[in-house]
Amino acid sequence: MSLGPYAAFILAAYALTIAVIGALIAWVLVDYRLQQKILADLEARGVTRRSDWPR
Amino acid sequence: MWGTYWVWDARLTSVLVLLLMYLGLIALWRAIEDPSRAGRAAAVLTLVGAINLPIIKFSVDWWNTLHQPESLLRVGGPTIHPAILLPLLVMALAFTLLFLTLYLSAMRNEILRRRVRTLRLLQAQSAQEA
Repeated sequence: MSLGPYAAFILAAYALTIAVIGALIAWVLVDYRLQQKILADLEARGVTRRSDWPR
Repeated sequence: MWGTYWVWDARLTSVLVLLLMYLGLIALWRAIEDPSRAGRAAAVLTLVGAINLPIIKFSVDWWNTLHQPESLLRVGGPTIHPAILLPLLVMALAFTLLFLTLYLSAMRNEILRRRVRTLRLLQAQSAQEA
């Protein structure tokens, strides 16, 4: 398939879009794992919310 | 398509204003430490910024610049050729679903972040009392 005289622009636009959206997806996933890890560490040290305290 | 990368066209300029508003919103959110105060300030700025949305929509009709008049959501149907219209609509739906998924995931992260903040505050409080 020939992309014509604007091939470089088209390929660069696709590459940039894939890079930006890939980074966005990775950021959300990494952030989720990080927050879960911090929460697990805090709970392992006995720090819990008031609603989790025994009545 | 238009033979230029950038021109001070009505649609391009109004979307640039939207981008600057988004950057301002991110800066405002990050500038205030207390999440509830930051949230209130960001909500006010969002409401003010929403005024820009109809301006973007109707900019191509109000100002006769490089961008063509509205060609999709118009009385009398779209003026776009079906060979371009169908992929445009499919990709619009795909990106809407992708960003909805990312938005919900980021919201879940924010809930976890606030839970972490609460636990750290409780930890600091109990350390102070001890």
